[in-house]
Amino acid sequence: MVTEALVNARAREAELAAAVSAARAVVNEKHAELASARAAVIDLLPAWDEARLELRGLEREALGPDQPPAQTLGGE
Amino acid sequence: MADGFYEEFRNGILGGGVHAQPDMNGNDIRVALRDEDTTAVNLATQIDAADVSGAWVGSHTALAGLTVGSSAVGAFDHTDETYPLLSGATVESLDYFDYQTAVESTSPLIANLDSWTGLPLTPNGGDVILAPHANGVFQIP
Repeated sequence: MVTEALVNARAREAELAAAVSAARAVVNEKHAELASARAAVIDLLPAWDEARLELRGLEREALGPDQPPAQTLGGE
Repeated sequence: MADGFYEEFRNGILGGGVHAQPDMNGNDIRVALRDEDTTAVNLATQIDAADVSGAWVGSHTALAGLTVGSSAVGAFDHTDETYPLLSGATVESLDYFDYQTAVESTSPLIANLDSWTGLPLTPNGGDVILAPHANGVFQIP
């Protein structure tokens, strides 16, 4: 027997399912925007890395020979 | 302690972290030198940089040459990192963290590593060079 309570429960469940679906669509849209922004960062990183390495080399040269010997930590 | 991931990262990669989780080859990933005598490592309760930065020796800068999946599937790696003219307390371990937000209280901790050759290290005032293993810094098995 279809009671009023059952009808109301179905309607409530359908309403919430639609709300979740709409919210997930927003997440998907933001993910797409994020992927685009991330690609822009990835494109820039190699040039920045190169510039930093050059800068560090020049800074080390500028310090001269009087600095203490370098210490190295190596990954196991 | 042994090398370990912070619980924030372990939960975070499954979507259950306190903070937004790192894009390991795109975000501002950093490593800091940890003086464990100042603050002992607690992988469970230490969530972000603000929890542990008082125990970091020297400064930190964005790592270069970030890779994911290059040296092995699930492996994270980066190029050598230099800490110029480092002085301060003895360093027992390394804290990897994500500084994408540039705010310590929203910068999730990733891993604490203490097995690297050369640790513990007492700075002598010269450069300290971090040279990751050829197989990468760590791997998600």
